[in-house]
Amino acid sequence: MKNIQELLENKSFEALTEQERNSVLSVVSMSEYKEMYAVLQQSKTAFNQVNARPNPLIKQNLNNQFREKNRSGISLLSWLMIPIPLWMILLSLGILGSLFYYFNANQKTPVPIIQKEIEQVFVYKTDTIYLEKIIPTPKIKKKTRSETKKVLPKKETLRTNPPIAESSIDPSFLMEQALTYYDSSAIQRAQEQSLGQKARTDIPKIEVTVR
Amino acid sequence: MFFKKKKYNTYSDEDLMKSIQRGKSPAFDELYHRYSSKLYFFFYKMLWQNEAKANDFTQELFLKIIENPKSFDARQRFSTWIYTIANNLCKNEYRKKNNQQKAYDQHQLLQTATTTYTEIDFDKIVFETDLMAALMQLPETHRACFILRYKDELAVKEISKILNCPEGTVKSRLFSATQKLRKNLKKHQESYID
Repeated sequence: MKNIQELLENKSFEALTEQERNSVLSVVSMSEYKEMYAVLQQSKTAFNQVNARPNPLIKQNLNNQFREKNRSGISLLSWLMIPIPLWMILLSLGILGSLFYYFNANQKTPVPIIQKEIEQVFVYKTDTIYLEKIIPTPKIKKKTRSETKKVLPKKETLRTNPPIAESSIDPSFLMEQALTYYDSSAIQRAQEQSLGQKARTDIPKIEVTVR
Repeated sequence: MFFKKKKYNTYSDEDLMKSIQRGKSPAFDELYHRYSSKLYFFFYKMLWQNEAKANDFTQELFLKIIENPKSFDARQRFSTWIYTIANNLCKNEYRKKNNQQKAYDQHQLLQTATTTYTEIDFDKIVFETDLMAALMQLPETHRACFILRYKDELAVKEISKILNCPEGTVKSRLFSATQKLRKNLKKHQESYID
């Protein structure tokens, strides 16, 4: 069957080979084959001449439908259905973020109201404390060469004798002893009394005078 | 310059469908131009040569393309897809039609064919008329095979996909249809073969 239909479509009985003829003749007669071949050829020609066309109004209707459908599609769903790549979304988010940051940075930020904490500081009226201390002075031993004799002064003349003794202490030492001393305990006490007062550069000065 | 007009007449059917899916109206025009006559003829022959039905079904088929163009899978051939839909539409119509009406129509067609034979004229136009009448006497499946193969020039493989049957069946139906037509058009053949 398969071969015969293919042969019918392409070859007339005369164009068949010996083998093909034998194959064909085993199914249909020569005249039948010729008639079938003729029907097919004639049918093909007839089909080509057929000029069947649908009603022209159909085309018009379809065009209207097509326009209507695509117009409504663009306005609503098609915009929502457009696929957007991920990088585009990220880029747009980045741009929005940077714009937001830029405009926020340019705005004047409200200055925070800082209340100055006023510390209560107790200040002494006198920042210098005078302490009186009795510092025992070293005893000065006088060296004598000889025992002093009781000399009765003469009435007539009083003459000045040369010094008979000298101090063993260096006078410069004595001078140094007279300098100002700082009493550390007094300073500490003053600081404790100041109650949180910051360390001051003008530490209370304690002068000690030796009398 | 910038908007160069596309030549849709050079496009394949499948490419035209892609353009239709994007809403290109000229692509639809081109596709309609290519297939409207073929489909109209197919419906006309498959639906008892009823002109009104052929028009309705042609319109319905193209409406399906407009309404849901994405149902077409670009990996398959457009002709296979469109004829499969057309064939299914015909099948639905056969189901609707009751047997009595169908028998009446067949009878009427036989009458027409017989009356035509009484006024035999060995002219091509007459042959064409007779051929169409003879086609209507074929079973629907055989008729569909014959029209798709020799009118629309589709391959046997494609027809088998459209009609959802093996290729061997298609070939068998074609051979059977050719034999029946030969019998019905015998008087024409004598003159034609000579």
